[in-house]
Amino acid sequence: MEIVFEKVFSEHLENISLQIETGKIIGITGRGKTALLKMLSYNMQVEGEATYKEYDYNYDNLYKIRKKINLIEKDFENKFSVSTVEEYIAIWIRYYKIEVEEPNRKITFALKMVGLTEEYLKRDLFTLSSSEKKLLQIALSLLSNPKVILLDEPFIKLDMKYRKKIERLLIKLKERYHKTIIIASNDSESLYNITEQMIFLKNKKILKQGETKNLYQNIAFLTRNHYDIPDIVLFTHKAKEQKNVKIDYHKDIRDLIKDIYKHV
Amino acid sequence: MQCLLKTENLNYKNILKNINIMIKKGTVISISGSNNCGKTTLIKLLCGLLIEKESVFYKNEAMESLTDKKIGFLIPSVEIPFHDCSIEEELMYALDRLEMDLETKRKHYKKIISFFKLKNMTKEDPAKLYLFAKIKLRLALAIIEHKEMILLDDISSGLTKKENQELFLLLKEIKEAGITIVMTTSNLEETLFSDYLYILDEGSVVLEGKTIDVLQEDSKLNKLGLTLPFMVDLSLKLKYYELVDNIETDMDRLVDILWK
Repeated sequence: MEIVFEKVFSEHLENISLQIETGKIIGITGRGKTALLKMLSYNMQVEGEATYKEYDYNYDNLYKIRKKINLIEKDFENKFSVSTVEEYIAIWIRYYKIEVEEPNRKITFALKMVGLTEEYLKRDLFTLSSSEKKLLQIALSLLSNPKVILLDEPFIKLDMKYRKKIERLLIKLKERYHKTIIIASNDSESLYNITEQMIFLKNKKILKQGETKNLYQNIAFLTRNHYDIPDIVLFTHKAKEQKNVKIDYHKDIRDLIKDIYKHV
Repeated sequence: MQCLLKTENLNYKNILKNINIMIKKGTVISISGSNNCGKTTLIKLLCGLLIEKESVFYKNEAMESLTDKKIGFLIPSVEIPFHDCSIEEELMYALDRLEMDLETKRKHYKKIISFFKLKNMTKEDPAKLYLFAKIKLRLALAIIEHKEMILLDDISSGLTKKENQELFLLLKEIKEAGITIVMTTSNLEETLFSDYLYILDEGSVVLEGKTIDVLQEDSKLNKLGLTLPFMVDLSLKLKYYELVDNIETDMDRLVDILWK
């Protein structure tokens, strides 16, 4: 386990009990998802039993926890009013007091991980596209070697090419580097596609949590609580319900087509 | 149908190249393309936030400035801050600019609040609203001054499917009230609402036509990094396997067709 919350309260959410398993990709959806990300990354006051590994969420462990649990916000903000990417990274390291042994090597490595070349260092921040900014945010997060990376709506404003790039990057971070990834989003399609476990929020609490497949295929639950249903799941459900067709729930449309072909 | 707004060989810096767009009164036009294709810049030029001389024409007059035009716009990246402490004040301030007596103003206000379903939050601070409420408020402000046309730049970003559906119902009524709508989006699913679709790539128009026709160019769209709406994608693949004859955008109807 990485993070364990036992009946934790904050300004926005109540009675939050959850266990974040190491090396999983977890999704959070519903109103309050940003607040939950902030609680988990200790960017919001929490009350109750909250621990990251052996560290309690209290002011003694503020630095230790924030170093290992990193929140990547929805929008990139030029917090330091500098011009270039290079300057931004340098001040970021200072501001967050990140201990880097060979800064230049580490920075090049972080950029390479997200697919940005060294040329980006000289770029002016305001010339970066939304996708480039998102990749930069992820690169900055990697500088402190976090164990848990939280992303708030990472796919908004990204086109398919970059969306796939980031999905692949997150999967690589999980599989090769054993990082835990937590994504907050309203995009049921992406969450269904990429996460293994889901947390559904409602009325300031956790309504349900569990395996992504089980929860996103539970049409009654999703409809009753007004959550979005991934198109591919909805279509399959209609075929089963209305025509009694024995096709399975799939993640990929090509598998769905093959299944339809067999049952027509 | 009258042409309300058009561009003629519009070139802008090295962002847009030779854009020729025609927007007819009462229609809904979508402009889509992958990131950085120039959609937002184009919208800014269409409403006059940016000016390129003798290239953009509103009712046949060259666009020289932002003022005086019956064009409302909602561009999230140009987030104009809210003035006041409550939704009510924000709307009344905008209504106050119109020359009506207090009673008419109040009636207008009530109609807007009811149409946009903002009744139970009129005393709230607009800056603290959740995303969808903010968008509805901005939309209300954009059409409040009896605009003839509204330009919307990727306003669905971050909304849930349900919120998006509610938004499009509002847009449908706005369209039926005769207001011309131009919207940009990177999600082709949303273009299904429009009559005509332009696809931009690196600043040029690469595809255009009736929306449903453009959406069937799956290989071209995929190469541009755009994903087809689920039902269009499914229909095209089923069509390829000769399981259906046409594009069907309604799930229930497609299920019916497949398994009569």
